[in-house]
Amino acid sequence: MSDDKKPTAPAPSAAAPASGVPATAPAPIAGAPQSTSKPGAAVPPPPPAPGAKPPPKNPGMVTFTVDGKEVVAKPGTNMIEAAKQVGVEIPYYCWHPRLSIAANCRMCLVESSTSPKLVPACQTAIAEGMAIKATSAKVQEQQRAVMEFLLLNHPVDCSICDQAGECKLQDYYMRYDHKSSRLERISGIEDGPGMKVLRNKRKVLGPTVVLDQERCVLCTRCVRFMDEVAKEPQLGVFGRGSHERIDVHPQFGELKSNYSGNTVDICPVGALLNRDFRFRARAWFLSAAPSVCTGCSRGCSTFADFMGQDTYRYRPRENEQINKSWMCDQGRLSYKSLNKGRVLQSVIGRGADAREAGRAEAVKYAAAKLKPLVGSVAVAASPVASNEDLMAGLTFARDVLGAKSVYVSGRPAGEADHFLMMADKNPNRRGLESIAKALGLNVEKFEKLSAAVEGGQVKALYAIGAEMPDAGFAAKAATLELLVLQATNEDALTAQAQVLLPASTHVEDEGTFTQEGGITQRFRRAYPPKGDAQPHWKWAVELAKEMGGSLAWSSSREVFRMVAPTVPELASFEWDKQAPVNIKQGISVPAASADGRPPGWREFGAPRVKGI
Amino acid sequence: MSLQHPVEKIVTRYWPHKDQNTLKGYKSRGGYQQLAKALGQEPAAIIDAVKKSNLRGRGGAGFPTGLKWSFLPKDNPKPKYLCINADESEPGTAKDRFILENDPHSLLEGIGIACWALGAHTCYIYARGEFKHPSAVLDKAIAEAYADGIFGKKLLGKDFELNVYQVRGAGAYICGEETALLESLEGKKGWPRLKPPFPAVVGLFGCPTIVNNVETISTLPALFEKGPEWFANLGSGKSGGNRLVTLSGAVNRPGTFEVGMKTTLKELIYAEEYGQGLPPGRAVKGVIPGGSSAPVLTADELGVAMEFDAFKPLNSMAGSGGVIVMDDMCCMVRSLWRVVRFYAEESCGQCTPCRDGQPWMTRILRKIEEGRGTREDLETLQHVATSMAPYPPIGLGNTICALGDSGALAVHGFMKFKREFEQHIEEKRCPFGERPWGAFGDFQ
Repeated sequence: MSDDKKPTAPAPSAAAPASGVPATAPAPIAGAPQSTSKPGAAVPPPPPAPGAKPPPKNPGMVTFTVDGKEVVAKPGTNMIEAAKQVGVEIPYYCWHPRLSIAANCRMCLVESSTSPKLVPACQTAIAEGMAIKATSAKVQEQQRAVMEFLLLNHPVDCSICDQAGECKLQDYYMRYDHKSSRLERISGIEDGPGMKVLRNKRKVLGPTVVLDQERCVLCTRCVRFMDEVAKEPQLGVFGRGSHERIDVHPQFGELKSNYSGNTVDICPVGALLNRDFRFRARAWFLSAAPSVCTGCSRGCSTFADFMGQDTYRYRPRENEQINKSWMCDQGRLSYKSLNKGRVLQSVIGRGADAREAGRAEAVKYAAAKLKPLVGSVAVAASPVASNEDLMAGLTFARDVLGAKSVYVSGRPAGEADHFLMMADKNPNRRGLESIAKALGLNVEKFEKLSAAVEGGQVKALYAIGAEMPDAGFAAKAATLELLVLQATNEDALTAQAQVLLPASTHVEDEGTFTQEGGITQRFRRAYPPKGDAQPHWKWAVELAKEMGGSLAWSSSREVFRMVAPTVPELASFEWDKQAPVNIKQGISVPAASADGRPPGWREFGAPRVKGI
Repeated sequence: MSLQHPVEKIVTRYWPHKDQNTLKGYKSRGGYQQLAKALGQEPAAIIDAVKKSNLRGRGGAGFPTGLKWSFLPKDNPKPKYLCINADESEPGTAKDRFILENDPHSLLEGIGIACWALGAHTCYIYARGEFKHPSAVLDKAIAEAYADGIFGKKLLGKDFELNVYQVRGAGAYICGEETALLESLEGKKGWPRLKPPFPAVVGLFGCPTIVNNVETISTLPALFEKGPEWFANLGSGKSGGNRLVTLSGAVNRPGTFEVGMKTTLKELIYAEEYGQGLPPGRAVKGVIPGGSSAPVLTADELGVAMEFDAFKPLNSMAGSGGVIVMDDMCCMVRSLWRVVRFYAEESCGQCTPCRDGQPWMTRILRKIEEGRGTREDLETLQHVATSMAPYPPIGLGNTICALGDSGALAVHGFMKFKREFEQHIEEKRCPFGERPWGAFGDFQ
């Protein structure tokens, strides 16, 4: 800000020796303002290059300068991304690396030596020798102006806006505008609200998305996403000029797409909101753990946003190989099973005899029941469990229970769609099969187990995960003499278990999944397991110890390091190096605030506590 | 007042004949002979001739037509299109409308010549939605031309297919912008496209496309009749031929006239053949020289010739030839408010500065006109206009198309009358009282 008046003159000469740019480089920069800022230069100024085009400075690459800093980028690189390489941030709303260029927000306008006008950085192709000024006074004034235009009729209802904390309008206002509104006040009220254009504040677009038209900046990212990525062009821009609004095309009636949640993610402001997440948490209290969606075998990379011991939402995490920047709504909402209907306590006995028990007691009880049946216990493993869980669980089954084969349980197949969602709803089938094979276990179909239980050939079952492809299996399981079940969520089968051991979900422990394409991904632990739950691998280790086995692993990392070298598909996976580390730490929530409730908690109709 | 340079009429020469808009009448005055002649020439020769004639686009920007045609890529295997921009909606402009009504076949003949030169087999005429009568006349003329074997599988008997279609707009001003026009033709929302690529390379349906104004194309038959050198000599400097201008506002004889490139604004307003001066007792306060987007000129600047380049030193533009005369009884705040309101209404809503800036300027202007304005408002107004398009010179707009510039340029231009704005603020009322429209208000 201090160099507002003469930002260009000292910059090139000062920057040149510091950044080691050869003496020839600053010449076009110094020349640029003279040729562009003169009022007479309405016609494009002739390029300063004398005679023929000089050869590129770096063959095969484009070399240009941003604020005097030299940038070497591949031809065709977007200017915004190229400028990032040298630490110059060009603000933008409408641009998105995975969508077509709209250049309608005009926030990314920069000065270029190739044009007398300000040019949009998102649209302008980088060219050899070009000099870009992204922070000059002229550019800053334009950024301020665009911010003022965008905020002119904005309701500024950040206090009730879900986007607050991750909103580009907020961030950019602080950085590029920071002025009060000049909009006409309602007459007679000096500091009252401005005479803003009012629009629909709660336009329900569809089952998952609601639109606040007053907050919308009409960047059309959502429209372009539905057209170009989801290939379901249901959204459109209606009206003209300042009456313009985003809406669903009439022939669709409502936004009904398995990818509608992504429009909320890419909305740079709080206009599009997820109805599931709306009003549930402030963004700054949420921490984000890099995770993997377990909704289907695609295995989209995600962030699990959590607070305390609850997951609040999944957000797609960029992964060029698998999901780019997107995820489906079905996967997005699959986080709910992490919070609800969980098995959190060990249960011993079945039916009227059932009683809750501590971990140690449950393990002892299970070991006692299993011991006499060693050799005849069938083993079922769910491909919802992680590689580490399966490695430990199957090793226990083979070495201690004497199993020769493993029956693959898991969720029943569902619908697939044209983009990301797969019919196989289990995240780790590939991992399960390769681990079982490496351990020398036969991989058997679930139907076989189902028939054997019905026929009475199988009397005892040790199951890792309660997900069963056959809904009628619970009834058949009632005939089992022994069912030792490690389950994350309650369902019909958990009621039939003699020993029910609460297992943790993937966000409660570290581990890996191998998705349908064979790509193994690591996920991070968000929070410690709820209740008495612990990972499958840990139950297996404890059961083995109790039954006289030799498993002595103390973490999922250790399980992986010990077993993975024997699994060809996983042997080359570098567990430590493949850890996504960009964990966002939310503001830590104290256990309770002064009134005994967590901060941000408001009960409708409850009286405010006096004194705070 | 008499004209210093007499004008030889080209476009309007046969307008007095009432049967000129029929094929029979048009042919009786030598119609379609130039097309026959052109079909005997090489396309490249025609483009050269148009270049030589200094014909410039009459739609507003004044871009050399021959140069535009030569941008069409030669080696592109895709079909080429010619689009005629008949979406004439610039406030104060009504010239294409009269061409369509009085002489539609001159346009069709020009289309034949242009399509032959460009190698285009399809031509779309995008007519303004409100052009009910002109469209009907044009439709009839197209039908006549097909029936006479001019268009269709064979263009005037030559083995060259040419189909001409008229497409009606839906009443959006922005669809007169060439890329918005193409979007609208494709059945999409009329939003201007990002440039580059320009329509000559990627235009209608992704194919190379030339978009020309009605007047530009309907000048072609006369141009080839008399020869490009004659045409170039008719004009001055780099602008060949004559222009149609629409004179409106506080003049005794408003209307659409053909003027020479050397005719001055003063002549246009005062000459017997044209405007015949202002009503008695009135004097010129300001003149908008080229449709409402052109910055207004003061009474001292009327000596300027109606040529495209002549307006540049005055930081205004020849535009689409809509000359609006405002007399000394006309409130400039009221006038500017009306102009900016138009742009606020017609902004396509794509770019932030135009979408939000135009309505804001409208509100500020209303505030000033209604006597509630402050000096800060006037500053804000200029500030907003500068954020949309710095001025001078023209053409530094911060939006995708020039509509953003238009409203801003109007504001910048009217600041020549800043004193009047200050008067509104000081007196807390409009000094012109109940009748702010000057002589406009006298016409019922």
